[in-house]
Amino acid sequence: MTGIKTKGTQSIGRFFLDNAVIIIFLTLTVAATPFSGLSIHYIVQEMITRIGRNSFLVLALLLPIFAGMGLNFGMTLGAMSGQIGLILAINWNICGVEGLIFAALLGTPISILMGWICGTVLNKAKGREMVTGYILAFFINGIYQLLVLYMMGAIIPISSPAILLSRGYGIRNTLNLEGVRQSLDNLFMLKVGANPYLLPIATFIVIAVLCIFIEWFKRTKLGQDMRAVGNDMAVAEASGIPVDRTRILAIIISTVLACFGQIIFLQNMGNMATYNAHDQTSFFAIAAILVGGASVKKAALPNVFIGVILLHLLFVVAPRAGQNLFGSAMIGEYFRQFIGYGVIALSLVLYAWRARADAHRAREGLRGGAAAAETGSPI
Amino acid sequence: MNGNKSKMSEKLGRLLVRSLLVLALIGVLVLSFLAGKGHTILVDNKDVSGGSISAIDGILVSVDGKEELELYSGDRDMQKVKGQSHVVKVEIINDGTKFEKRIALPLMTEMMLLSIPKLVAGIEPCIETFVPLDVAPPADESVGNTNSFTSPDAVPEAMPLSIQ
Repeated sequence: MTGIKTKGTQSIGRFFLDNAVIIIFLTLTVAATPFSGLSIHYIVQEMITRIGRNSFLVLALLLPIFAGMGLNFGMTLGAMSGQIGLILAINWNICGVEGLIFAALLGTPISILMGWICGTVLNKAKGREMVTGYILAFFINGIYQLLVLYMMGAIIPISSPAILLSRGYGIRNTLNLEGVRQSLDNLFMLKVGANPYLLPIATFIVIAVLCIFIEWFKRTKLGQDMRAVGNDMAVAEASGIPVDRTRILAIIISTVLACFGQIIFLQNMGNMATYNAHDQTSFFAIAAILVGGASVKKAALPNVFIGVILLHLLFVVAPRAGQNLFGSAMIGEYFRQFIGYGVIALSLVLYAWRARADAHRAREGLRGGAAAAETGSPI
Repeated sequence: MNGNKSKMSEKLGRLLVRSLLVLALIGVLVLSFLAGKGHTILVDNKDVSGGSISAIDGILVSVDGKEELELYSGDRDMQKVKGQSHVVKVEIINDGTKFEKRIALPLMTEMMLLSIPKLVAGIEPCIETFVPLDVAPPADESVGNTNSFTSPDAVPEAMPLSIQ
């Protein structure tokens, strides 16, 4: 009887441990929502908009996780490629969806190159992919700044004075993306209900196509290879899978998707902070997928959407709740920043903790037999 | 020998596919550039040629079926379009007379001035390049400060951009 009770308590404890991030988030959101004073209509509309804006970027993280490369902090490289495409599209005044396609196609070869560089570097740092990707993003950011701040206008011809600094070279701090603003969202905007909810159907279709692509890709030979590499590199290598090439391909695809995702994100925002729009891209995408219940080793499509909804729900209600409770919206803003970084830290700590606990259990199992392994360790 | 041959043909096939992909990418890039290139049309209803062609008092102008612009004598308004070929419809409010004309814009010109009196009178060219003051290319120091406002044939001045 006591054994059953202990087992039950342990399984509840394990459930809480496995879903700690989602539970903490749900609790915070449920607590903050009434204090925010926001209407349900407003919150639902915001969620619809933010799913369209952010999901593509978060989906870009899936393939490197399948390939066992962890959370791709290097997706910032793809975001920068997309921004270069957008700068050139704005320079030539290419408007509407055509402008987005133009930016995406210009960004594609750049992001392929960036992905190849990133993948090659990450192959030299197996087991430390996340921190390497993070630092690599800083390094490439320096090159991006050099390109955009000094080479555009001086070496790369920029004809539009609206985006060029008055000194004759370098791009302005903030770009108005008026020509492409919400062009994908407004391509087919569906209004539902009497107090209408606006559904950006075209954006949702693009996201759905990517989801289908990911599901299809998982079943292809390359997709299976990625999963095999993700499970065990040594076994994959022994069974003839080109591990390094597969890992590079995972990062290239992720970088290209991040390029498209950043373009979708920025067209929705309508303006672009030239020098730091990409800084937080990977952070918020990673925070979202972790909030959705994914881990460094395991992720699936539902994690993306649950994460985007939960993270952004808190982002919407927290500043208003802060304003109403403490008289300052800044408290909510600080809270938002804190949450973004905190979620990543908490998930990584929990992942490391769980990995150690699993290793401990496995050792106990070897020492004390199956019973010990089944009961588990209290770690 | 056969193995080498098949390897070679595989390599050639791969190269062909990659070349086709690159060509397709360039093709779509060019198409999106042509189809998405934006222009600003200044719809102008002012006297032209020193008053020999006078402005029309009360017209409705629409470009590509977009929202109609209501213009009276001396008015000028703006319409943003994309692509190079456009249909301009003019309706004179007083008598209901309608004109329709297809105009072609030069690819690399950002801003054009469309003279409605010229268009209605059938005088060509009814469209001219317009260089606004703040996007005029920097001129030599020697260029005088003679044009307070640029027009289709104005000399561009060297003006510092005010937007930061």
